[in-house]
Amino acid sequence: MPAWSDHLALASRCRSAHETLFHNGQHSEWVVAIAFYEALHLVEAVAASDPGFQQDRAVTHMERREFIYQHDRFKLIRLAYKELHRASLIARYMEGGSRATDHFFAAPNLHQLVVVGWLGTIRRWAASELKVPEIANPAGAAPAKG
Amino acid sequence: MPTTIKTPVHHLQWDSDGKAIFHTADGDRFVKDVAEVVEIIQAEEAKKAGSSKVQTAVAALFRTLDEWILANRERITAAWLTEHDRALLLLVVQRSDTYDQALSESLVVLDERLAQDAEVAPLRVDTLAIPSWGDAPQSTFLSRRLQLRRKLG
Repeated sequence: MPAWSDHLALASRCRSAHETLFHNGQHSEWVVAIAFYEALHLVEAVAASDPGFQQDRAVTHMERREFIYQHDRFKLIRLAYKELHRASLIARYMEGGSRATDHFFAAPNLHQLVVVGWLGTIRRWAASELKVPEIANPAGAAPAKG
Repeated sequence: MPTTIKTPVHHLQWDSDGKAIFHTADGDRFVKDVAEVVEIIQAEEAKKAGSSKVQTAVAALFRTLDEWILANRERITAAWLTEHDRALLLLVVQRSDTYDQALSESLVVLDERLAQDAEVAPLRVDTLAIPSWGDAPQSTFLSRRLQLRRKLG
C-alpha cells in the first residue's frame, strides 16, 4: 500500500488539476470529480499514517466508505466525503453531465460548495490529523474564484 | 445458492405497507425472494453469515429504510433498492432539483445507523440521493440485477 506521503503527493496533483480546470472556466463535472479524488487521497493519507489502521486499509470505494463509518476518527468528515463522492457520481454519470452538476449544485456557487466547503472541511481535518498545516493552506495556492 | 432465481433481472415492487410485506403469506414469499436475490448479489458476505442471517438482515434493513423513507417522503419522489459497487444501494430521487442539505444530512445519519446495526451487518449497504433531472434520472444508477422500487403512496 502507498505511504501517507505518496497519498499527499497525489492529493496535491489532484488539487493542481482541478484548480487549473476551474480557472479555465470549463468542465465543471471534472472539477468536481477530481476534487473528490483529492479528498480520497487525503483520507487515505490519514489512514496510512496510523499503524492501527493497516489491517483495514480500503481498496474499493465501498470498503473506504465502510472504513470511514467504522472509525470515529473520520466522523467529522463523513458528510463532506459522502457529498463529494455523490457530486462526483452525479457529475460523471447523470444525463447532462456538467449541466446537471451546475444546476444541482447551483452554479455559480458550485466551487464554493464543493471545493471551499466540503473539500475545505476535509483539507482542514487532514491538516490537523497529519499535523501538516500546508494541506489546508498550501503556499502559493491560487485564490479560488467565487 | 438458491435455485429459484431464473433471471438476473428483478423488477419487484417494495410496497409502502412494510407490515403487509413481512406478515402476509404472499409477503413472506416476497421477502424471501428479496433475501435470495441479496444472497446472490452479496454471495461472499452471505456465505460467511449464513442464509438465515441474511434473511434477518434483509428484514432489518427494510424496516430501517422504511422508517427513513416515511420520515423523508416529502423530500423524495422515488426510492429504489438496487446494487452498486458490490453493495446494496438505497437510491432516492430528490423532489428538489437543486441541492437539499437537510436530505443529505439525514442520509449520513441513516448511513451511520446502518453501519452500526448488528442485524444489518452481514449486508453492505450504501445510500445515494440524486436530483430530479431528466425523464428517468435513476436509470444510470439502477443495476440490471436488482431494481426494487419502494411504493411511496
